[in-house]
Amino acid sequence: MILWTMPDAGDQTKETYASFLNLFKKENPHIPVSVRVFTRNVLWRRMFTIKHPTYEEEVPDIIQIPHYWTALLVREGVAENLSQLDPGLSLSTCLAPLKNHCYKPGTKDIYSYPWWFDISALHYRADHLKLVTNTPEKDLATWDGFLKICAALREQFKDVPGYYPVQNGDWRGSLSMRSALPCVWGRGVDLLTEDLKQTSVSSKAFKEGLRDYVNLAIHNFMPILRERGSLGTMVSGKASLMLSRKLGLSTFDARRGMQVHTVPVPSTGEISAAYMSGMNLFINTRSQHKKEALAFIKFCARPEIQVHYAKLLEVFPAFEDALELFMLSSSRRLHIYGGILARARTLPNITIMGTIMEILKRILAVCATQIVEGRFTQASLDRELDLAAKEIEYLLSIYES
Amino acid sequence: MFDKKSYTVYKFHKQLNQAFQNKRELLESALPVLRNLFKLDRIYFFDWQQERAILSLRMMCKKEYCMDKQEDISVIGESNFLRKLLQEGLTETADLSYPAIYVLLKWQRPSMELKGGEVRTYMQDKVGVLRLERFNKKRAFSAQEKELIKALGQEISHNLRNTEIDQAKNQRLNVSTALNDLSTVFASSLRLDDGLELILQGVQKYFRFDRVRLYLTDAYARRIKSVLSVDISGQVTRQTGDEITAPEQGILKEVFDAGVTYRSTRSVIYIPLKVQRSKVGFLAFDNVLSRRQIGYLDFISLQQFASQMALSIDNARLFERVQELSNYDELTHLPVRRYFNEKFAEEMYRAKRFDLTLSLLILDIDFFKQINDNYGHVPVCARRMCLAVLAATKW
Repeated sequence: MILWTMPDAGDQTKETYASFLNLFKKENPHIPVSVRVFTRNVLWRRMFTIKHPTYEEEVPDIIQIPHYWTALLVREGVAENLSQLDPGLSLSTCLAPLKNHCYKPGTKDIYSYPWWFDISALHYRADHLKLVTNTPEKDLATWDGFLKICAALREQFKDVPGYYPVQNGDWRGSLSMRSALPCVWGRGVDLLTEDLKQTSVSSKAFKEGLRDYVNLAIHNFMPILRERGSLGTMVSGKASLMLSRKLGLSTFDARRGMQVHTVPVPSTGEISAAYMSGMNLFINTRSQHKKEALAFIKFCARPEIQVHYAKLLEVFPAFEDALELFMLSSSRRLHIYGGILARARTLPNITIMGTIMEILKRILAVCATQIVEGRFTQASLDRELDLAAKEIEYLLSIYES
Repeated sequence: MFDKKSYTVYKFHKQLNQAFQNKRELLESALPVLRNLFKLDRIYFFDWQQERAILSLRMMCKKEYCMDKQEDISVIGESNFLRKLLQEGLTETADLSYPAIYVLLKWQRPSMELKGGEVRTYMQDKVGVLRLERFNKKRAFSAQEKELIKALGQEISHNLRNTEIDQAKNQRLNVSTALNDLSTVFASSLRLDDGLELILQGVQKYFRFDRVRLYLTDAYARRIKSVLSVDISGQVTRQTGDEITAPEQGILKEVFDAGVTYRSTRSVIYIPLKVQRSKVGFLAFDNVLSRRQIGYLDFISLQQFASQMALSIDNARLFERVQELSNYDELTHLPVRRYFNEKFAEEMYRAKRFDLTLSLLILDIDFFKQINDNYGHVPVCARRMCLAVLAATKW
């Protein structure tokens, strides 16, 4: 059986999967599993070729996807109807915000199954922040306060070579739309209107929200397009803050004497929101091992396996019983993330959601290059967003009308 | 005297001396060998995006496996680094706290472009970079190692070129096979509707477009009469020309009037279907959902296919016209006696086959000859007469 997945554990992904799959193999020795790791970019392109593979292309059996890709894959006809495969399959204990992303829109047929989720938060080194403020949580509650703290930290550590106030939590080392989403939502706007019929990407509030996030790079508070190995981190003392969707607690706990606190992402306006990103598994309609793939999905959904995997990856289980176990196992985790989970927001499960994110990702990639080259302007960003809005409206008219 | 460097290069050459399906496969084979040879901790492969001055990480090799990775590194402001890498093919980095060297890979791949209406094939220069790392600071790369790494890098470059050439050949073969299969549909059917759906679905399947649309004009090529569309679900939908949405009409008019191939972005193509000087419609292909670019090979192949398609559509239309002329009276536009004979035979067969009751109504209209002699030469009157008779007998 072939599992396609993403590098969720970074450089340790293959090792992480090897240890996880050993557990599965113990219970299912007759089901060999091979893992292929693809970046999100590559996986996105492959979603449009797996329906008609050429003779030399591999046919995967089970694939990990961002949960908002489900509607697209159902429409394409590559996601197996899990409700038909197993009528007893249920989402009754799935976390409410993640349920809709498992169904074919407008039905209760399950086409993908939840695996785990992560949620955005701001981590900071308490010892560093102590040097610039007595009230870090208050100052970090708003985006303006956050930028002021960054400026103060830059001044405080100006003699430390290679220091940046904010460690870049994006694996690509660039600007990330998923990190920008809370800034956009904080301004009271979303990618689409509430009825999902129009886009707000060209609205003033959206542009301001995106600019809030991009300011981190413009003011040189966060490195972009730099060699990761050459950059400092919070652990090494060359950064003080990080916006991340990973728990990170275990990483930070590993260094004794270093206290890392976690707070919600600073709000850019009236609303405080955290981006909840779910990962689901779906079975390829072309798979010759559907029963085995279903067995793997059910294995991953068991509470003790959910908790185990969440700890491995520093993420959260997707089911209520597992999440309860997970949260209660650490009073610190419960205390920190109870409030953050209450602010959770997700992207809607519609056919074109993945495309919208690709469009915005490209815009941010262009922004990042312009910032590094010193030729970024708000006007150019606004222009790109206006064009993006037209493209999105066109897509809505074709695929969502 | 035994030349270790040449021998190592020769061995490496032998290991890579096989057909790889694509660049990924080649790197997955070559990088672990390099890693073992030089006892490296990590090797990374980057693509060089010259227009953005960015090194884009694509793959990492550690232990015995390779995996996809993604990271973008800007080289703006790194002129010394770039100059040394480009001139000498190898440079060390000062940014990392452990020994690491960058090796330049240069190869070419077959490409094509449309210039002045003609297809030009050429070899496009490609550049990649390997970064080799050792975490132990005491194990810096010696001069001999650097020489050997450069030589092995050249070997990889050479194999990348061969792989890209093979891949391009396979791609052309696949495209030719696909178009050949689709062409047989034209040969097997003169009925327009039967063939067009199959062809559109076939094009969507072989080329893996998000959407394929066929716009057909009316007989006078003045307006779009109908639209046939296939999207990622593989379902065919039909629309009349009146149902085209307003936003789409603007660009369609432009394309229609221009009558030339139109490439609005690298994900959308419109190709006119013309026979001699008359337009029968146009084809539109897009990847606006996946945002994948449509390659030049596909673009050029589809242009050639479009000519064939235009001819077939025109032939099918002529056939339909001939059928219409032979089955319908020019004056009254009502079916002729021959059509009646054929249909009657069909209905008789159907009635016998399914044990149905068949009725035949024969009307003998009084003084019809006189009416026909006086008024039958006027087409409208003749037709109205016949329709009135039909209406009167309807139940």
